[in-house]
Amino acid sequence: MRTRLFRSESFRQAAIYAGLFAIAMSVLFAAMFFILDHSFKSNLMREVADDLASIRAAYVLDHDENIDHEAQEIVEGRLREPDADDAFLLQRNGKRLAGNIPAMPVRLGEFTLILPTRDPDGAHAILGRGEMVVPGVYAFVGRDLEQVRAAEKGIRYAFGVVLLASLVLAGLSALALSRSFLSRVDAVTETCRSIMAGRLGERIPLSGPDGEFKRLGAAINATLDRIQMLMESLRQVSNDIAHDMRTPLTHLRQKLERARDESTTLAEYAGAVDGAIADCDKLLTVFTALLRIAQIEAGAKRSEFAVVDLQELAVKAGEIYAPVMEDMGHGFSTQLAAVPALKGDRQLLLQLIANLLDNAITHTPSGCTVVLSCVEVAGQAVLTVGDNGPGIPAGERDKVLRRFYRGEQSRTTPGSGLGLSLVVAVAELHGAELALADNAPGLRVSVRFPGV
Amino acid sequence: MEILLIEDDHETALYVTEGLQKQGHVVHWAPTGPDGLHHARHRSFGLLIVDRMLPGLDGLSLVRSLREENCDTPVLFLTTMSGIDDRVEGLRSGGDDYLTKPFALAELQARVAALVRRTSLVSTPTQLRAGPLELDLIARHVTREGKRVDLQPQEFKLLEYLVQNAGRVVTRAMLLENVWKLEFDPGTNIVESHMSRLRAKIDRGYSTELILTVRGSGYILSAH
Repeated sequence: MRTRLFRSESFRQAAIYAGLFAIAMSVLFAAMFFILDHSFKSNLMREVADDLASIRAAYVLDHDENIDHEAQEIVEGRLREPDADDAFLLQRNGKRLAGNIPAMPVRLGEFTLILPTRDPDGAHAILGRGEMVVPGVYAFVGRDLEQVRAAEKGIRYAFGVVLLASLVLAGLSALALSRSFLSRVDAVTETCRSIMAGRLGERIPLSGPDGEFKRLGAAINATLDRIQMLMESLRQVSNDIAHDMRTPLTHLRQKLERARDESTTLAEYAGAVDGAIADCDKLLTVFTALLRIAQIEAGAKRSEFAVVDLQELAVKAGEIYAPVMEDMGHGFSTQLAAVPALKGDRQLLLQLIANLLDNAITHTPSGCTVVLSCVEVAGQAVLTVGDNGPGIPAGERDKVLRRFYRGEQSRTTPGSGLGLSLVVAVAELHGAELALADNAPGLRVSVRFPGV
Repeated sequence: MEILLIEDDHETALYVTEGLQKQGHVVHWAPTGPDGLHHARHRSFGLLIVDRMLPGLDGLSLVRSLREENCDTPVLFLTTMSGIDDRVEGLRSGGDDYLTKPFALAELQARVAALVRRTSLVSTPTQLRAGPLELDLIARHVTREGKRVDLQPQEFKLLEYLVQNAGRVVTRAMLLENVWKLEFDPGTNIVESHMSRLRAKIDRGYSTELILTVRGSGYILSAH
């Protein structure tokens, strides 16, 4: 766990940020330190220049027997001030006249003077300026840097503490961040593993604040829902095939067996083979229908949707089916109004209408009437196929939409049992609402399409 | 007619070859995509029958590259996939017709005959003629032996397709695809219903029937 924590992406990110932050702080501090130091020293030098000016002025005013007297007075006066950390030196021809530092060789301009202190290990640094105030008289005025140094040391110390503290804080928050990150990633990984292990119902827990993680989790969960639904339908199809195909295959086998054992003439053999071929074709039709439903359910067609005129499709289907209805002894009428355009797949919608009409023909006795209508209701296109046949009991209406389901009454009628399943799949693909209702008497199937 | 069959399944190849040979065609068989492409490039054939899934080079790409090389030999795709988009994809890539396995030999033979004929049809004439039938495609008139026959629009379309393929078998699937533009097989037999109406109008009162049923395959309009 520990090494994983340190190796995690989030920890690395946080560490990089902490490093960058430390560098930025150091640069800031260096700049601040430099500016502070500079302003300290320039203030100091301004005072030094003032002191030197007053010493110079003393020589201009004074004309006593001792021309150095006034300057000496100024220096000693300044040295008498309490808490003075100033350094003064006034000397004539190398001999000290006044001041608190020993005479020294003449050195002009700004410089730092290092003086030994009483402590054996210490040394005073004095920043100051040396000048010949009048010919032969050298003056040095300086300020002890010890206070500046102490202040600077304090600042450096404070900075060090702050930097260290913020680095520790950054490290801790990186750890905390990556730990919470890891735990959420772990939750996702854990869910994925258990799904891989076959527990398809598992979902990523969506706790915590609304954020990227929750959204990602929700998206993954939605994907899983869809996959589970597809798996479910696949399992359903496999079960249905196993269940519903076994009977016709058994029949086919029996027929062939009987033909082998009992046929004697060529004509009998030919008849048996034709029967077998017809059975195979029926099975193939069912397979094709199943594949088609599966493909429709996968939803790939949706990307190719175009604007479709439902009225035109219904007119076409009506024209195609009118002779069929007549031949089957069904009354047929259409009621086709202009409806709002919808987005869809022409062939699939045609098949939807065709299957509904087929369904009406197959499940109603001759003499019944079928009505195909297409109307606008509340801005939506609604396609309806109604008949006045036996209808479907209310309790059974949901079941007929399932694959291979057949009502008790229709056990013997031909058909793959997949017609309405395909209608369901096509309706779902188009986001349409399919409803089975009592046509009093008969069945009314209506499909309500959403607008463009 | 020389036909190039590009198909990797040995059994299907044998079945197709025998079936087409019976109709008097010469069939050359190429078992892989690259083989097929090589033959198609170096010899001229009357028709290519191409499986979609081939080793080496898939059928769609093969036909696409032939079409890019301005080869206009008609192509019939064969496939085990029965995807709802496969047909569209196949025709888009330059195929002329599409047949899903498993298929009846009669279906294949009928489609091959129709494709072979298609190449010789240079332009769409405004008049079609088959024996005593005459179709005016502009006015949508039909006459048999000079006598006017009144047809519904659907019946006219059906007859038009039959006349275009006069003398050859057309299958139910071909009629559904070409006359009604239905790319699926509806449960009830709509072809029979329409055909019986057309027959009633075309053949009633005449001693010879023009539209004949071919058992197990489809229909044929007599050309004479």
